[in-house]
Amino acid sequence: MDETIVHAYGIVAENEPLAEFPPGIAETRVWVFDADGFGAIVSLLPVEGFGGSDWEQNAASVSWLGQVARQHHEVLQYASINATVVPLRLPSLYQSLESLAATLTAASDRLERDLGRIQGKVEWAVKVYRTAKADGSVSAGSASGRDYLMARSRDLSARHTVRQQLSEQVREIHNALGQVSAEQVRNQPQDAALSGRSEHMLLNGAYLVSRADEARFLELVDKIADSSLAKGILVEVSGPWPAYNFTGDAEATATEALK
Amino acid sequence: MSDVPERWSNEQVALVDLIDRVIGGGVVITGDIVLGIADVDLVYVGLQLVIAPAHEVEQSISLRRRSA
Repeated sequence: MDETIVHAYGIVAENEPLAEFPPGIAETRVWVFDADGFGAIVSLLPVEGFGGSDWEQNAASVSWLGQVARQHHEVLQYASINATVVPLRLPSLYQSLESLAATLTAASDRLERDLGRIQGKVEWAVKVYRTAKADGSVSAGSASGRDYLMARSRDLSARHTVRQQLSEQVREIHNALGQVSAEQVRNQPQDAALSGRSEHMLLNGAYLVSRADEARFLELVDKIADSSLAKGILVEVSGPWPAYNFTGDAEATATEALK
Repeated sequence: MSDVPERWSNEQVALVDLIDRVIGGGVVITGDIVLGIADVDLVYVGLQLVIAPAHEVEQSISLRRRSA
């Protein structure tokens, strides 16, 4: 048979009832490999096309990486809806199941801690955008230079105030959502060029929410979204995500932007 | 678990969200690993420059999947 390599998607506790996985990367069969008290969600990838050097070459291709990332995610999405799963960061390739088992043993304390941290919880994403421009630039036809300068100065301070108000409102939104969450993190806003959105992103938040609080969390998001629209603030929610933002070492998780 | 609430703005998760989480988040377990994030970090940085406009790529991916 052709040579294969092990790809690990995520880690669950032993004996989680997971069976009907979607196809994995490269349409491979996904299953749970039991090792040292954990279940590793794995599939075997052909070395040809997925070996180390292939990755380095192919990962520069957006369509290749996008496809791989999507299949990695879909497996984890299924798993996280049915069990508590620690998502592994892509890529996560091992020479053999034995070497994966040895790695799990070495990392067992951390994995145990991560599983405990997210037990019974899921990640929700809330993004806040500014819809209105509200810039009100100075008209070029001002009567005199002095009038122009005064108008411009008013303009600048008005803009400054708007920015301050927005950042205060965003902070309030983030804090309010935090009241219904076990943990929360503010990630770097996504670049408009990457997201393809014309609106300016003000908040890229992730929230670790207990299953029991999900309905309450979503009600609150809806309430905030409704009341914010008139202020030129667009609130979007997506989820539930596997707990990508609430597992792993602090330095390994997404950068926490300062308030 | 039939009553699990779900909210997605589109049928497909946006590529930029996916990349942010799948490559930017999650756990790294090193040890006896063949290829891990350290090898791809630079690729990710390069990717951020290449990826725009993500929505176009998104369309091509979903088309490919549909025809697969």
